[in-house]
Amino acid sequence: MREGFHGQLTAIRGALGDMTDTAATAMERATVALLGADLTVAEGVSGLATQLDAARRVVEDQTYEVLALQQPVASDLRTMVMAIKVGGDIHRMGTLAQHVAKVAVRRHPGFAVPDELFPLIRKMGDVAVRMAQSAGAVLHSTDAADAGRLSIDDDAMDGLRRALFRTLLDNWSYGVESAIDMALLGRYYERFADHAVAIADGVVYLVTGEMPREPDEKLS
Amino acid sequence: MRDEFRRALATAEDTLAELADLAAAAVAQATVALLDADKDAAESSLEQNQALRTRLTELENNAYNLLALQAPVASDLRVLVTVVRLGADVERMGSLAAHIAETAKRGSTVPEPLTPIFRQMGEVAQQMAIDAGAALRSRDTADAARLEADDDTVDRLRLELFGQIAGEWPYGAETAADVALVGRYYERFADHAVAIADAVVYLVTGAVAE
Repeated sequence: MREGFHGQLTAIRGALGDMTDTAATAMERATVALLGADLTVAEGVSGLATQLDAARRVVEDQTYEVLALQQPVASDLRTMVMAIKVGGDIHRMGTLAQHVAKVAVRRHPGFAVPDELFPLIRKMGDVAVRMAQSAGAVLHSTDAADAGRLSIDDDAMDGLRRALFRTLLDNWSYGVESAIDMALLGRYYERFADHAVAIADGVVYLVTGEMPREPDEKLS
Repeated sequence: MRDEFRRALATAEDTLAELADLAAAAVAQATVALLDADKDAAESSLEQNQALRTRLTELENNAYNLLALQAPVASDLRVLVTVVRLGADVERMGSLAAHIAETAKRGSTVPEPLTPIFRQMGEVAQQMAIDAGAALRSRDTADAARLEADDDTVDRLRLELFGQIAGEWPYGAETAADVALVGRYYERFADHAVAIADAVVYLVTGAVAE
C-alpha cells in the first residue's frame, strides 16, 4: 500500500515537472512574441496557459484522490499540500507569460519594446526561462544542487530589473505608455522568477526539511 | 477525536479571518502613506505585514501538528488544505500592501489629479479584505458575491488610472511607472480577496467558482 502511495507521489511530482517545463516554453514564446511583435506566437502563449490551467486541475484532483484512498501520515500531507501549492505557482507562471504576450498584442503592429531595451528584455526572458527550467529539473530530480543555480539567476533577475528602472529615470524618450509597459513587464518577469524560486525551495524543503530561504519575494 | 479536529480546524479558520483583517489594516495604512506621504503610516503597514507573516507561520505549523496527531478523513483534509492555501493568499495580500507602503517610503508621491482614484482603490481594497474575513467567519456565500462586484470596481478604477496616464501626463516616466505598479498591487490584492471568498463558496457548496 505504502509503495503504491509513493509511486503515485512520484507521478504527481513528474506531472508538476512537466507543467513547469510548459511554463518555461510559454515564457520563451511570450518573449519572442514581445520582441518580434508576432501575433501568432502570442496566441500560442494563451494556448499554453490554458493547457496549464487544465493540467493543474488534473494534478489537484489526483492529489485529493490519493489522499482519499490512503491513510496519509503527516509528512505525506505536507507533500500533498506542497504539490497543490506548486500547482498554483505554475499556473501563475502561465498567466504571467500570457501578460507578457498581451503587451505585444496591445502594441501590435508596433514594437512594445524600444530598440535600446531589446537586449535587456531579451536577457530577462532568458533568465526567466532558465529559472523555470531549473525549477522543473528540481521537481524531476529532487536534487538540491539544481535549486542552487536558481538563486544565482534570481540575483541576476533583480539586477536586470534595477537596470530597467534606471533607464526609466534617465532621460526616457519613448513616451509614458511605453514607460508603463516596461514597468509592468519588469514586474511580470520578476514574479515569474519568484514563482520558480518558490517551487524549487518547496521541493528542497520537502527533501531536506529545511527552507532554503524566506519563501517570498524580497520587498526592495 | 474527530470533534477535537473539527474544533482545531474552526480555530484555524478564525485565525485566517483575523489575518484578513490584518491585511485590511495594512492596505489602509499603506494608502494613507501613499496619499499623505506619511512615513509613520508606511512603517505601521510594514509592521502589520510582519505580524501577519509571523501568525501565518504559526497557523501552518498548528495545521501540520494537528495532522500529526489526528487521522483526518478526506473531507477534513480538503478543508485543511484549503486553509493552508488561503494562508498563502492572505500572505500575498500583506506583501502587496507592503509594496505600496515601500513605494510611499521611497518618497514617491501620487500626482494630485490621481489621488481620488487611489483613495477609492484603497477603500475598496480594504473593504474587500474585511469582506473576505467576514466570509471566512460566516461562511456566507453572499459575502462572496459582493466581493465580485468590488473586484469589478477595482478593475474599472485601474482602467481609469491608465486612461489618465495615457492622456496629458506632465509628471515624467518614473512617476508613471510607480503609479502603474501601485495600481497593479491594488488589483492583485483584490484578486486574492476574491480567491478567499471563492474558496469559502467551495467549502460550503463543494462547487468551484469561476
